[in-house]
Amino acid sequence: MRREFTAISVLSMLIAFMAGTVICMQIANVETPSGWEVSASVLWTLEAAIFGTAVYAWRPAVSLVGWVLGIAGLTLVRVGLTVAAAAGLTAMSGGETIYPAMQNTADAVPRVSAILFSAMICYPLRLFLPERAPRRPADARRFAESAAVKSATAAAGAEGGVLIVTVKDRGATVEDESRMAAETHQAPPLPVPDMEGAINLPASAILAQLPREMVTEKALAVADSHDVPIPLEAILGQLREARVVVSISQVMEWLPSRVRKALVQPAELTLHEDAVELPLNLVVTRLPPEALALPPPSPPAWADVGTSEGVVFATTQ
Amino acid sequence: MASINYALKEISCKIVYYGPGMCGKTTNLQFIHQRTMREKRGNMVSLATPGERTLFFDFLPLEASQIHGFRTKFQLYTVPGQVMYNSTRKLVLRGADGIIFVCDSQWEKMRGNLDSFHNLIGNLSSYGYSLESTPYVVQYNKRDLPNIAPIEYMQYVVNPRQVPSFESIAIHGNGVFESLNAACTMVLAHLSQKQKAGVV
Repeated sequence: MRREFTAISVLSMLIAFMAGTVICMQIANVETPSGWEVSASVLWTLEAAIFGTAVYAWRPAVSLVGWVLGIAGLTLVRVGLTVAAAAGLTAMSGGETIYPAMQNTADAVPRVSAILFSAMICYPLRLFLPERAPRRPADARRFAESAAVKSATAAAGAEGGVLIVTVKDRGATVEDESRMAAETHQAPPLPVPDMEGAINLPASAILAQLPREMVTEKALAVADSHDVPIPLEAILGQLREARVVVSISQVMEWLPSRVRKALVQPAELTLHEDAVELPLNLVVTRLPPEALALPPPSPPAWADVGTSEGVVFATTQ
Repeated sequence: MASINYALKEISCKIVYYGPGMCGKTTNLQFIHQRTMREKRGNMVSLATPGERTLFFDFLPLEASQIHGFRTKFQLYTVPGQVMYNSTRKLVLRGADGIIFVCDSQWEKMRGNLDSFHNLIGNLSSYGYSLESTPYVVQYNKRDLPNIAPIEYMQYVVNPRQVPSFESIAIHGNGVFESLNAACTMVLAHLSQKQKAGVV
């Protein structure tokens, strides 16, 4: 928004100020017709009303502070215009003080012109007025009474009873993942089967998991004909977590020496700390069935439906 | 919480479909809505983003057969699966009498299933509930896709207690009513057990 306030805005404000001063001086020189005199209090009230309306018209969402600031700013500029015009008149007439000239420039007609010009001068500054915070729906009742829900309810009959309210995703309830992780609960531990042995994974599948800068064309070519034995003890303890992660140094140990020699170790990589995830589908499908054995079922009491009557829903087909 | 209205001879229960994003919770509800008789169901309310992702919840009121002279009504809800909407999930879960945990059978969603299951346990515990005290079934959805994990492994990851579980293809309706019927039967049996014990 503030990008709209450019050097051209400043230039136009200066020009308007000069034009306002000159016109105010010209009007102040014209003798006020009889019956046009207005008391100072009426003039101040009129001025505040005009400025207040102008600020609100320019920025309907203005905050109370912004509105007061706007009126004060406009008044200040108007006074500045009047004083500048009085100073100009004094200089032209060779007077010693500007007070007599100010009497003229503060009259009703020159003052109205100063008010109009101060509005023109300050118009570009409206962008800086603070706005009030947007209102948010207080609770779900407001949502239920919203136009979107009402229109969707009306359309529900035509849609065969499906009420779909499409709303803009504002991410209002967005929470960071760390909080969610903190709230998660660890499932009861399962005994890890004590099994020895290894499963063979294709070396190419493992190379695909390594950092790209490590893997050379030669390594890929050599890997095609090799399998990598992965010890079960490195896998079984992690199966419950739905992923198998091993350090790169461990992978390097398991790789056939020909493949290992064809790999490049980038300087920034720490083999012991950096890890790779083994492809779960290849790991699980190669496991012996005993590896996924569960203890005898221990369903909670509610799972015992006994002789309970089953629930039947009336379906159309 | 289930409510029993003895004057109207009516039982009302809340069933929540829980699971990771895009696993097919809304599809389950849509199929149920499609296939139940008009006079036995209300409107399905779905609060979704323009991309058809559930933003708040889906809701479908349903009436089942009479049991011991009582009309049984079920309010089916789904939660938004996306990780960021945990407050909403928690809110929808409040007062749930039964849960249908829907898993995505694809390999790449295994971790998401597990995270969602842990999240379910965490959210239940924030209300003082647990899976020991809340009837639930597990539904292994998308069994028609090519890159799916074997049931044995999915059981191992999300269902070590071996509660009733069902394979499903929600988009075609396979396994949808089986899961719902099992969950509802367990909810009513649990309610009856609690009544006998004088808890309700």
